[in-house]
Amino acid sequence: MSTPATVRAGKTTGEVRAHDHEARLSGAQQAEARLTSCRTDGPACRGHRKLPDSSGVDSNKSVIWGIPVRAVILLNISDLGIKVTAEMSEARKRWRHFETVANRTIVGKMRRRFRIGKWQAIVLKARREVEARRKAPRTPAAYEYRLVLFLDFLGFKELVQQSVADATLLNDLLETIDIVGEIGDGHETTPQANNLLNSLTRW
Amino acid sequence: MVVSYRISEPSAVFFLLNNIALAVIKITGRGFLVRGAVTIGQLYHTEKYVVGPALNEAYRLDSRVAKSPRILIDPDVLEVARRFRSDIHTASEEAAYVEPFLTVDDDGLFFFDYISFDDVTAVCGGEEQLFPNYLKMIGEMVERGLTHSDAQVQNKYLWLHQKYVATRSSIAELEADNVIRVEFPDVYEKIVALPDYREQATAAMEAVARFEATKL
Repeated sequence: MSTPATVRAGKTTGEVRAHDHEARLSGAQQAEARLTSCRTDGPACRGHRKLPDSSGVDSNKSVIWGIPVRAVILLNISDLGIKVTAEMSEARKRWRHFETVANRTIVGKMRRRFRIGKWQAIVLKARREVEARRKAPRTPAAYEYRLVLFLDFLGFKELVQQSVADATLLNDLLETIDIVGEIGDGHETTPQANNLLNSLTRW
Repeated sequence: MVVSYRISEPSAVFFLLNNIALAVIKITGRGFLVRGAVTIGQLYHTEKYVVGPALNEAYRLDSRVAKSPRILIDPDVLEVARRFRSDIHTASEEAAYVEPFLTVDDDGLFFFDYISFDDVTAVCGGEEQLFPNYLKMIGEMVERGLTHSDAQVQNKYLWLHQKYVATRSSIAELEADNVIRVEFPDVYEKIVALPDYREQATAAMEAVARFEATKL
């Protein structure tokens, strides 16, 4: 899934993709390509929630106060005591409250239905969500033309072995891996150049 | 590690090469070396999967061709840069921005030069005053690599030693009225004072030759 176009101050189109931890390489690469970088596809980089295209008060078919219809159909809105005619300016404040209430309601219903405790219900809810994601139909895969960077540390095995007895080396190594992870983050040159100049002071 | 860009993004080539260049210099400055390859081709890259002929090719270049601590760059990136340029650049301008990142190595392959004074300072924006310490760091890595017990490792560092010496010489041989010497006399002095590790390189070459002989 492509990341929305809101990463890094609106500069990127979100099409930069890192090799995430779960990413799988084919064939021979898998054994050697142990290192992964995780960046723009991470939840932390996804920016703010995109307001739906149809967010009018009257448009309750696709959205109510900016709440996706997917969330709405999970719950009976009237049970939550939220008025559908609320002003749009309240929508953002109510969203967080809505999420909280919605979660509590789902968990509450599970507790009543299965006669179980709160935490069991939460775990059950989480499992159901994971299961639902697994069952979701996979979108047809297709190759696209991309620029690809494959990067390897020289003597990585040896460095890792040395890091067992040297905690400083381990931290240096992890920080360096982070630098690789930053490749492709944002399209602005200036901040990265500044970072470079800052790093030069460490030499 | 794999990073990919969709090539249809404006200035994708420039941004990727620029980011790689900055990252490689930062990594080298911290005392680590990387090897890799940049290429173009078909790839399926999602949060979970990365697979495709382009990855196979990048991996092949990295593991079989690059050999030394260098990042090879497929020259086809220039054509892609021309085609998917920024709206405010012509094709020639876009290519002119990308070309400085490509240096031809002795074997005819293009690579990103993270060692020379010009590339680190002019192309990537590194500060001239800090370059001597950067080169010193590379020299220390060269020394460690050349004195490694494994001849195959020594062989990789012979390439870096060659680049290190070339960079050191390019500064040391500047005329007295050269802009760099005039504007940055302390930079010149520090670089000239760096060791050339000639003895270590000679010993490493002999060790590599012995190793190669045993393979025959």
